[in-house]
Amino acid sequence: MLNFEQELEKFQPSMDIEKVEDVVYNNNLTDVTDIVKELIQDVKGTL
Amino acid sequence: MRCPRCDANVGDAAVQCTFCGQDLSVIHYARRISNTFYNRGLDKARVRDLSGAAEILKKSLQFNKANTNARNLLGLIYYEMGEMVAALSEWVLSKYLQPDGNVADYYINTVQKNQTALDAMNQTIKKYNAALTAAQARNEDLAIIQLKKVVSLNPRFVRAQQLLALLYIKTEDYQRAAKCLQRARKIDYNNTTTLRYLREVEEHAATAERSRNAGARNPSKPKKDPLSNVTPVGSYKEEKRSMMPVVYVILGAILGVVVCFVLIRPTYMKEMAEGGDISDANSQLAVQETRISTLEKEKKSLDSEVKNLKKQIEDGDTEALEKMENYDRLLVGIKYYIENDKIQAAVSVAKCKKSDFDSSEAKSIYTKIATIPEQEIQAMVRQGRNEMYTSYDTAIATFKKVLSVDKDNQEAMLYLGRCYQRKNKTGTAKKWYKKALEQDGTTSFATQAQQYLNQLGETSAAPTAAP
Repeated sequence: MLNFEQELEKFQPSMDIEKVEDVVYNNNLTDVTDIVKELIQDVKGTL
Repeated sequence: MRCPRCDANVGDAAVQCTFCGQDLSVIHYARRISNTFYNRGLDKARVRDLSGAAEILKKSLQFNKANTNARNLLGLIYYEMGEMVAALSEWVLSKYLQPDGNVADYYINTVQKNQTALDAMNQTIKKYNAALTAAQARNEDLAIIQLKKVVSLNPRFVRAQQLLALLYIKTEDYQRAAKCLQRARKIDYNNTTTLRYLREVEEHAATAERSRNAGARNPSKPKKDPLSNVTPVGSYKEEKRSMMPVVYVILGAILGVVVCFVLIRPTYMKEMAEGGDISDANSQLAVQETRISTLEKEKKSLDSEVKNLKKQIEDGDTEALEKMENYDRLLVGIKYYIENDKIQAAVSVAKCKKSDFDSSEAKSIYTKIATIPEQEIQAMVRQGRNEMYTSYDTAIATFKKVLSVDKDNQEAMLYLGRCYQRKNKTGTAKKWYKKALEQDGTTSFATQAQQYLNQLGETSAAPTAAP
């Protein structure tokens, strides 16, 4: 049996098209390569 | 590819940085995983498991954010599910990370080119948000109305279909919910939310079926009266006579009269006034036409009068001229008479008549000259006969002279014909013989004329004698 309230909470408002720019800027683009780079920089700093 | 340690630009296939000697195998490993996820995502997208494909493609991008193919495909999947903002953001990022030779260019341009569709899409997003707010405020009916509009404008908006189905489930309208979910499933086949809602709807449908079957097998339940839905019809009542139709007719007549006086009469009066002017002009025209016809008649009569007068003048001239000629002939005749040539005198006035002369003296002179004694005519005929022995022409002239004073002289006619016969002018000869016969067929001259005609081949020229 579905819980209507819980299900309704799962639905989020959709973004307006005018706000595409915000979405692009706020997108987290960090990938594994960035993490590797960060780790290497950390190792390099400790040495 | 850039080295994660020194940020130097190295070749994509290099296993070690040529500048700092950093091992790049980790980077290559991450890229391989990213590509593997991309391939799996592509497989799922091909069988329309769009939500599953989106999840895997997101993982692919976590391993390599610059995997343009994975990002473009993710944008395409969002677009197919009606998530325009997410799709555009993925394509813009893809374009940012790979400016050249990127298919995202085509997607962005295609979307931006159709501004109307973009506006419609924006409207559906706003309506969806409004419907979601209404649903959260427990205003399900309003939310359903809004969502119906949203799915009619953009049937591929999976989230809107799912929310509408949820609201229908809430209102226990499972059939409509099932329809919405089926439409959502056509777009995204393995969406877990859709499948969950669908299972809920199917459970309700199965429960309802079981209860119907149980009800059908239970004999204790009283049968429904088949006539329960039949409503008794009331007895027929004749409609009461109403005065309203009469009132309507009277009102219509009054209204007609008012319309006549207010609208039609002024126009009619105006037309009448204009018509009066026209009739005046017409009458004036008729008077003018009558006057013209009268003048034309007068002109014709005057023309004919002028002609008559001219004719009279001409006739008067001719008459005067003829009188003068007659008097001239009379004078010539007097001259010959004085010279004792009575025949020539008579010939001179042969063309005149007694009535041509006005005075009694002239008339008596004319009578004296024109009347020739019989002896003289006989003498002239004899002269002509004598001349026939010497000259036919002279004789012809003499006989013609005789005939000019005595038109009916049968003897002159006979000998005139004879002269022409001798001159071998048979046609003229025949003519004079016939004339002689016409005078009197019983005389000896007529007999001779007939004989001569017989000689010339004319057998029946003589008229039959009277008994």
